[in-house]
Amino acid sequence: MSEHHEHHIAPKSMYFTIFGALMALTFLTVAVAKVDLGRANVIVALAIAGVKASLVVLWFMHVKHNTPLIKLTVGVGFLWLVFLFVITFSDYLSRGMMGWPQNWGATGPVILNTTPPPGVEAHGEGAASHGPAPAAGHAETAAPAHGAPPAPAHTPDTKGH
Amino acid sequence: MSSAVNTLPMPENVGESYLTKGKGVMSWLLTKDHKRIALLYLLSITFMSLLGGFFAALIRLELITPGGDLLSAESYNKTFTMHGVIMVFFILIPATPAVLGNFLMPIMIGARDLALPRINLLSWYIYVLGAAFTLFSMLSGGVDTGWTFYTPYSSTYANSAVITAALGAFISGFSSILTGLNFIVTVHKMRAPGMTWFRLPLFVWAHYATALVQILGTPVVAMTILLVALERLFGFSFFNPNTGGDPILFQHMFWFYSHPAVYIMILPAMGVISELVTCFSRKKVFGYSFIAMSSVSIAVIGFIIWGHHMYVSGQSVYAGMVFSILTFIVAIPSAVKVFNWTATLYKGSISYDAPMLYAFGFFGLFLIGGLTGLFCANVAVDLHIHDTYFIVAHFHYIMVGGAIMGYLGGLHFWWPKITGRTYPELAGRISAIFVFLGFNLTFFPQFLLGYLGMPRRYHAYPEEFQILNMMSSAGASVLAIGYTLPMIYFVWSLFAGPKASANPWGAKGLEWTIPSPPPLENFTEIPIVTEEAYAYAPEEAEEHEVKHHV
Amino acid sequence: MSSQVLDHSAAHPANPNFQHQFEDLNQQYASTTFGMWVFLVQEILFFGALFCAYAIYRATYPEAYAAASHHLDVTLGTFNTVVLIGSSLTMALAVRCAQLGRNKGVLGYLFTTFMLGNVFLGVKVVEYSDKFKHHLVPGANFYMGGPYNEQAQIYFSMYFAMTGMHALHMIIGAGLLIFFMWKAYNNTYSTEYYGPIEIMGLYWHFVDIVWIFLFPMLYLIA
Repeated sequence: MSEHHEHHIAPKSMYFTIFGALMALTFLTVAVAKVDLGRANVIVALAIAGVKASLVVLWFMHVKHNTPLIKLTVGVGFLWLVFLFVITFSDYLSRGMMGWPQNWGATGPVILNTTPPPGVEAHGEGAASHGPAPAAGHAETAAPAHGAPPAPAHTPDTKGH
Repeated sequence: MSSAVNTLPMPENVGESYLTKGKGVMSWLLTKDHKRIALLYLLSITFMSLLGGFFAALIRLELITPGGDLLSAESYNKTFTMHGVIMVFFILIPATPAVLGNFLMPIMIGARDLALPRINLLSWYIYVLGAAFTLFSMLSGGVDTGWTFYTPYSSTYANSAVITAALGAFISGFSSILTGLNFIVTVHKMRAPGMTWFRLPLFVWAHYATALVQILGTPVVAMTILLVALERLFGFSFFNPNTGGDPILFQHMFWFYSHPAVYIMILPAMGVISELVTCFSRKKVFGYSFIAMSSVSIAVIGFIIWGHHMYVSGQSVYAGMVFSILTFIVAIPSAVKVFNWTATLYKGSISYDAPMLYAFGFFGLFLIGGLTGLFCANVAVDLHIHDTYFIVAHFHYIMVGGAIMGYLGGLHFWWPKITGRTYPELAGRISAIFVFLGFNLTFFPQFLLGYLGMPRRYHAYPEEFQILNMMSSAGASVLAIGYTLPMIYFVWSLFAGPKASANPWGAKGLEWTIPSPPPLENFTEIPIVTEEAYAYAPEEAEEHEVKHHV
Repeated sequence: MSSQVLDHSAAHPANPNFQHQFEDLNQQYASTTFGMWVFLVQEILFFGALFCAYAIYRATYPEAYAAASHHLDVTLGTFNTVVLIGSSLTMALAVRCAQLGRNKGVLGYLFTTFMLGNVFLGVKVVEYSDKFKHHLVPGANFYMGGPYNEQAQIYFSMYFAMTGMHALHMIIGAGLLIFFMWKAYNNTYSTEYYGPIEIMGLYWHFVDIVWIFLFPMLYLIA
């Protein structure tokens, strides 16, 4: 406990190198987003974000040269995030499995509020003429939107007390 | 046990007691001393528990008769909601860590204070702020959503002061986070020389595991509650089915914390019990490392089983099945603890002082609570008993029978250390017996009620349930006596109780090597630890030693 | 439990920032920085809850998310990303100066960080007011049009909750920066005492990391 804690002081050039890499990755991710890769777009975007975050954590936050305890702490934080994601998704991805009519997406949300509020221009987006065809799994979800009667003008979902 | 075994040398120039050093209200309100902050917490938690107890009494009064005569359905909803919110967020979660943990943890590991004393004080102020919000919501019309704030009821339909109550819970969560943060840093960085991880008292292990849950779980529920408040305040859509939102997602994120929160309540109590069992059977604890590791594994496994609260909510069948299996797994480390405590008692020279009576009470109630938990974990059974009084009885056995028995046992055990005064032993034993009997009379009939199909959260019920409900209400009054007695004789002991020696129980542990009450910085000189925890019988301790050393 | 005692009190350092509960400045440094890391773990889970809700709805309504995300200005988002990463660089350099005991350097870099943070927040204000103008704030007046009008409310609720919570962290961070600038101005830091700047840096970098994920998730998924 009493021996002096020798802190690793990195040279300035290291910080600028990391900064350069972060900039390059930022422009890369913007560029890639303009190319249509289908589902891969999301994966690439998140992968690049992950690399950027790792650069910041390891070098800007000095985890690379830090004690095992700090490394463990960071790891635990992300591990618990994985718990939250994986287990929550395990429910959503398995809805409707085993022939049980449980898919909340399939019954579709109640669609309200398809008419613009007074004084709003519709941004040139017609209600029915627009948008990519919904993916198979979501066909029913989106369908009511086209034929929905002009709903009671945007019923507010919250009330005051 | 009255023969004080005090063989340890007492430092000569002990500092002035923490109670007398520094006078005036401000010296308490601005204190950074962990012991004084623990007492601030003790006072505020006791105040909140009177309030929570008042609502409990209202509930039991209403349920004496089948008709809804005392409270209207709406005010009954508000009553049980306030009971739940206060008891869960302001008593069960902070009680043992913030009072006993705060007071003892630094002393037990041989430190002058927690690592971050200002943060510790801040956590108390945040607690008070959260309590103030909750009280405000109570005064401004109350909340009727149940303590779980389920959407879309809480976000859209409820016609009561949901926002302030939810923010109260949100704020108190940060108090809990800061306490946990402080404990983790303290255990890692503030241990005295020689206090290795596997020499830590099990109380400290339990609080370390608790702190992990507080750090890793609480922020998720805080954010979830915040989203509900946003949805209600500004009409945002997170869980609103009208825009395609999923109320079940709220339940997932809510229970991600709120299930582990059960372990925030029970783990510190288990830590107290480990201390009590070894001290009052005069034996080194059996299976030290197993008890220590079971605390940590309960904390970890507790995070992956939350879906058992949602079997009938509409989550997938597959998820329900997985959660069911995982839930059964958490019974293993819990059972490890109970078996090890039992083995510690075996051939021990057991004495039946009040703290130990509370510990025995804990065994009985935790056993029933834990085993009925296995019923609830089973999807097929749970479909029948879900939202019935069976569940109510089950979680009260764990959360009140377990957590509060541990808390009270610990409070009795360390009262002489905290105040320097001895409480009347006979009164202590009587109150322990009252609590145990009253508790069982209150909540065992509720198992039967739930099994017979009485749903929870209704102010009226069919007449055939009246006998059991009357038993329950009668038990509640016995329980109330059991809880009131300690408040009376603890206060009495402050003024008239005999002065306590440094080690009235002849217990092991660093907290018993310093005077009662301790001086301001606990130790005049930081001790060097040279032996295992709980070295009650030296020759026996030699044999078991070291195998599990780090 | 103890049989010997060791006197540490003689070794207490004279630094005015030393806190009495510690043995020495190294223990203080290690404890406080570790405390910040534990706090950041808490923050990971705090934002993690938002990310989880975002991800569930993203997986359920990908088209609605894509349609809604068209209403965000990628140029402004990219600009803000550059600004924020730049502020992370100056923050890191401030920490380096603190490690070397150069208070003037700390002050200068913290000021640059502060200004960049304000630029970020200013751009955010522009973006928010644009959403208000175009009825893209969830609630009674929300109107995006198109087949995904309802589900887009979820997207914009997420957008405001995530960026709002992030901006709140930035504002708190900016306030802390002012405090530390004042401290550096008073020559508080030295080669043996620079922990607070490092802790400030950890916080700032964390806020940067959150944005590094928010940027592609909100702006680039179209």
